[in-house]
Amino acid sequence: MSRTRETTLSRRARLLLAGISVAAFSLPLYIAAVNVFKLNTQILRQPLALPNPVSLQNLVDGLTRSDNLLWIGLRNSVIISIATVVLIVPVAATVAYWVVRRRNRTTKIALMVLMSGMMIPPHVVFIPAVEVLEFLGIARTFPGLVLFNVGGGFLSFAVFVYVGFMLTLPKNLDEAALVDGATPMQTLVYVVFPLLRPATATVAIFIGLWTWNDLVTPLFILGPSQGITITSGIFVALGQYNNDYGQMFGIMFLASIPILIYYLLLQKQFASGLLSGSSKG
Amino acid sequence: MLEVAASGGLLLFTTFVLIPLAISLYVGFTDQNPLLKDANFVGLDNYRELFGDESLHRALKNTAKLTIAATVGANLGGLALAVVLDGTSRYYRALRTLVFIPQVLSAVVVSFIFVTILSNRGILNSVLESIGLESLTEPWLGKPGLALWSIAAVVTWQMIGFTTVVYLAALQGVPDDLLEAARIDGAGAWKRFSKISFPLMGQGVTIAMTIVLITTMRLYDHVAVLTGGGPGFRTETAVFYLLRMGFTNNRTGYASAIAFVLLLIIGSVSAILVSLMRRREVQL
Repeated sequence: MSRTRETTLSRRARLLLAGISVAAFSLPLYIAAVNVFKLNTQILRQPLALPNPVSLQNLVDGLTRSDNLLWIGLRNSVIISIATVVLIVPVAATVAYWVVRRRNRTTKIALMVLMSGMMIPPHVVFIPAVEVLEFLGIARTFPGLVLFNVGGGFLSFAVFVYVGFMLTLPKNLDEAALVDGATPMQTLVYVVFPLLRPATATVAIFIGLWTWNDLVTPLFILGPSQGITITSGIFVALGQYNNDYGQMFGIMFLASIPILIYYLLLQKQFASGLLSGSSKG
Repeated sequence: MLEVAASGGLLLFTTFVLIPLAISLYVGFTDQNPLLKDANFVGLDNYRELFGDESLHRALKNTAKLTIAATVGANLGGLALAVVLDGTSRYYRALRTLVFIPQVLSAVVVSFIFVTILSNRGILNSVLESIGLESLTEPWLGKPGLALWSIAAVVTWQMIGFTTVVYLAALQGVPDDLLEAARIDGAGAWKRFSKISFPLMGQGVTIAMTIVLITTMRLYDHVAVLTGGGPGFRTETAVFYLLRMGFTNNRTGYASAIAFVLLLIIGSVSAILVSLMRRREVQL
């Protein structure tokens, strides 16, 4: 009897410790959240207090800016993120399938070169990449940015995830399709690709998130004047409004809502993808 | 046919990584500047300049300090939070959801939150004043020396979200029967953690260390928002300096030489770390 009470007590103490630790860790998030709904005068005098009065002024200000920062940024970020994901999934899956099923000298070298891409900070290729894009006639355009994202930034990671996952798939599944007369491409599209769903989820979730949150690539590949994404847009705009905390909190909150919803909906896949994506190889 | 399809991806990688690398290797031997018409071949001049460039050395030192501080801080912090949050009830699940949020927000948003907290007339100083601790107020982002550690703290905070998730998964992968057997043999909580759980978390440690290290070695966003490299370029990171030389100062030739050196340093440090950590992993 006394023993169960003791374990209940220590269980409560443990949960309390967990709660206090997370509360301390999340304090900056709390500050960001409560100050969205405060007026500037209250933000500086009582930064930690709950909003009194509750004001939607910061949100209204953010949404009705004369430069339409949020609306244009959101639209551009949605277009660029979706285009990047839609393009990289088939490209990376095909490269990975070729590497895993052909397994010869060429594929080994190709895989090694691709994997070394994960160690290369994309920043070191920005300057010459702009020249390449200019040569191709797509510098400072959305297609140019999307192609750079796919080829330059994220392909290595996506191939890495797909190769790791494909190695766990039984080989006889697609061998059966080949015996039945399907071409390797048909086998990939109709047999293998549907089996890759967990890997595709990981690739889509993370590359979508990284593209959305990316600051440097749009800033340098697109240029600050040629259309803005939500992330590079708030970077440029908030740099000028550093003292209007109310408006800063409002804009940051509105810009983060889509990503927070995305995270809360796909939470399970986030955690499992993080591990499956980075543990094999 | 498969070869043709696969070559599409390889072609993109070649166009946007390999060819640019080749270009920057070549351009690094010239004095190219997009504002001037002709670039001259200058041999090893850029590389010679780079050895004596104190701004670059400071930027490299800053990067090293940030990388070490964030790697140590985020891994210890994440490990501690993971141990505390290693429970099964829905309360623990809700707390874990909160901890991961900094990691899904962009570095720009996270850094702006901390600008409002750490700037001169920011929230931290106003809280310190209101509780009578004026003497502790500091220009957290404006004082040379202090500013770099403020950046390190922000990066560490954001990365803890990530390391906690990795360490939690690693902890939950430790077989229960091993821990139960140790408990029956009389091993206390600390002993069970240090002798059983932690040695079996090798793969988690590898992932967390490597990702934090690779991320902080290429740090740009946090610095751009928190200090803009200042005060007086004192908080510039290597990548920040590279992009300032290349895009702001238009010294494309010199920046290309810097890019190549950074590539060698960052690439080899990451490769060495990965192979060192892999060797330490305990397999079940």
